[in-house]
Amino acid sequence: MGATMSQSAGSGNDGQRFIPNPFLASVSSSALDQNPTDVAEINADAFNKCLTLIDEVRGQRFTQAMLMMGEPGSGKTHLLSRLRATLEKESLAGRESLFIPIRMVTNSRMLWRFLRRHLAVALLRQRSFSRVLRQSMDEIAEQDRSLAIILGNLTDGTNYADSAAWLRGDELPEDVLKSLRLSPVGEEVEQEEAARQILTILCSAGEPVPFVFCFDQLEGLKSYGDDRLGYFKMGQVLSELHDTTRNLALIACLQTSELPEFEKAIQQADRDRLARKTQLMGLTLEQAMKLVNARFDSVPELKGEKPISEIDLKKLFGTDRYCVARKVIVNCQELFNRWLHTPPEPVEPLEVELAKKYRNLQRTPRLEDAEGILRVALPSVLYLKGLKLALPKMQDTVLEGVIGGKNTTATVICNQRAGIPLINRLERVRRDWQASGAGRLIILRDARNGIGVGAVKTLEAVGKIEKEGGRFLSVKPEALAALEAISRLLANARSGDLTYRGDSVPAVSVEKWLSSNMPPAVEELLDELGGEKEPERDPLAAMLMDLLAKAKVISLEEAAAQLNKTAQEVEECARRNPSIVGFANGSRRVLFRIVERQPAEQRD
Amino acid sequence: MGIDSKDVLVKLQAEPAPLSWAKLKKAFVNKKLGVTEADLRSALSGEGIHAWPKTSYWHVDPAAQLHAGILAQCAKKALKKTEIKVKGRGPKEISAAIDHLMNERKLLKYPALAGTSVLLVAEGSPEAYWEYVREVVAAKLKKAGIEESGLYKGGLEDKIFDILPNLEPAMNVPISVDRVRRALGEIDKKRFDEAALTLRQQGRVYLSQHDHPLGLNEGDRNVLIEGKDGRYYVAISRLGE
Repeated sequence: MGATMSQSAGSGNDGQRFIPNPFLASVSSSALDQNPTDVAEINADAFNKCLTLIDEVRGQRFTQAMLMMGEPGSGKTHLLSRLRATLEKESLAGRESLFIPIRMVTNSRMLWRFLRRHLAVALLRQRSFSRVLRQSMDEIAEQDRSLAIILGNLTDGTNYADSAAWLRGDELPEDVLKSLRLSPVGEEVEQEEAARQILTILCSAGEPVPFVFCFDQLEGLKSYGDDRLGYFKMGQVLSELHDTTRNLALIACLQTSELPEFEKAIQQADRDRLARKTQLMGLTLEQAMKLVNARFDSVPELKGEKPISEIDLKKLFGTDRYCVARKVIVNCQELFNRWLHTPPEPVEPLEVELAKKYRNLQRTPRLEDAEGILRVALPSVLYLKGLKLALPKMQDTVLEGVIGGKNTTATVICNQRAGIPLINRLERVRRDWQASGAGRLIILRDARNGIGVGAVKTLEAVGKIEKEGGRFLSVKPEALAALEAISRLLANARSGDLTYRGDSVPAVSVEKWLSSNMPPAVEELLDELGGEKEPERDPLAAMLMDLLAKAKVISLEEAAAQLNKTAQEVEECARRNPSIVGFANGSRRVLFRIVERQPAEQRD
Repeated sequence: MGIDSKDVLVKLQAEPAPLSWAKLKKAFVNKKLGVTEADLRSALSGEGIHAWPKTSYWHVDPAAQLHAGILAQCAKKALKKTEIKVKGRGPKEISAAIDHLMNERKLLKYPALAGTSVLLVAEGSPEAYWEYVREVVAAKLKKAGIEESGLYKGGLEDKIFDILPNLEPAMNVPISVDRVRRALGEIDKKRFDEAALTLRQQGRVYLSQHDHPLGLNEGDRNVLIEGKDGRYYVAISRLGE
């Protein structure tokens, strides 16, 4: 500790005044975060290359791409945040651009939908579309009528919530689509293609305004250690955007450790389009000192104080010329606490810290996000259980994959609302299942996404699959919340943003912890998927079926009384099991046993 | 009933090589479902499907595949036109494709070190020419009884440093250690690692640390530069303004 520390030693948090520790923020989690302090000199080379890239896009009307690399904690996300702030200032001066930050925690099979969502979110954040969308509605309508209707609605404030949801790519009920004068979306492959088209039309509509796509944490595309599919697809997406648009600045951020993997995974043609590269380096001692002083300057209570000196920092650098920014900040956090005479915080074991971080990442996911969560997290958690999800041979199969040895299980996620898209999808699921040769079929749906009795054709498609031995597995919201937290925890670890005592926590440590601390809801799901047990039958449903076998038709209230349950519980059970329990919600709520359905064309 | 050409395209995209008519028939034609050979023929004329010799089909354009094969060879080492071979393709076809790529400036001409031969190098791969030069010089030196390392006065450090611009012309851009090792050919790991660490000490290069080397298998870890303090480095970049 340098001399300045001991000289200032009485001015800490001694009960008279509170001095915040300016080094508490050590990880920039989003490019939208406001940087507490920014030293322009740090990583100026990489930053200037980003600005040059954008200027070239603006001036030459050519999409340009660049790969930005750096060690964990070197400040990639921080730099993007600096870029956002600079572009915002330029925007105020009339040099418009659209900044689109994207943390790449997604699955390769929904990349276009994921990018469309983020572009839509960035557009919706604008004060007015006309600032960044320069084509007229007529020009847009020529390319995509639905998109023009939606943009028109958003501009006029008509059906804003539904229109915004459509722009983001959320699935909307058929009646809402009808009210918006739009047609239903197609199957999954078509949805990816539709998302690609919407994205390119929106980008082109912005010309000549540069759209700055910042793909942060490319490592998030990996489901497990040697998973290369995500990088491969990302390479293709970058090439496609490069070749089909004229106003995009594509900045892809990658941990340098991943460079060999990334180079191996993407094709030569895609590598050529990413020929421009830049690197974020560690800080020199001089830069580290400037960063420290800038943080002190941001705290008015520290005016005139120098709690950490260059001598303190020299000790941290040792014989190295460079030290990554995060390590400098975390060490300064401790040095500052010592200067304040704040007793060091007890260091919890890594396992306890991971459990805390996991809990902090948990939130109830939206229904629309269920498919994405399952897509991203399932391969990871299955891998942790030693069950790899083998990809089906056909690339665009709707199956997620096939698990297991002898008693293989084909898995699929079908979270569409009841209606034509779901019916079509279920029909393809049947075909894919048969082609896969898997013994079992499990169809995953968000438990909150029930199929009502009015959806006769959908229920028919459900029944057909069940009759052939396929099972529908309702994924509980708590399992989805746990899966999302797991995938975010793993993505943070892979991108070096998960830290413990200043060092990055490697993904393998998180995987190890998860293997022995798998949340019960996920464990249950994995057991059902992995073939250790059959998907659990709903016990109340079994009782209800038994009752209906005798009564055939019964009022909800009477059924509840006979089963010793509340009417709400029984109604929920009926809604959970629409393929086996009929529920008429008229002036009198009635349950009935479904014996046989009429052909759909006579009913719908 | 018909066949959607998209379904056929997807099937072809999953295949590692062109698929014969017979195999396509087996996969798609189904009399019970009313899917006929005529339906398949019609689907095969869809966008993105290319006819290959011997009545086979693939999603890859045969010309594009030939071009990629030629460029891949010329990205590794500068070659004479006659040295370029592509499996399953005849000399005339290859020669025409090379001429096309030269016209497109995707193949560039470089002079041979001796004689008047012209060598071909894929655009953006100057290291291919370097590889040719290195081989020629090394062979001549060997004939004279001199080892290849004698090429460099400054030793292995200079050899590493000098090859970096060939792999990545821009300063401050990381190049994976694996690529540098491959470009230099067989060099003892310990010697290479020491030379790279010396370059770092001299302030000529920046070495990017691997965040979790112990998570790698031994083979992948051996590719990295092993520091003397237990750290491992995954990439090298030239330092400069």
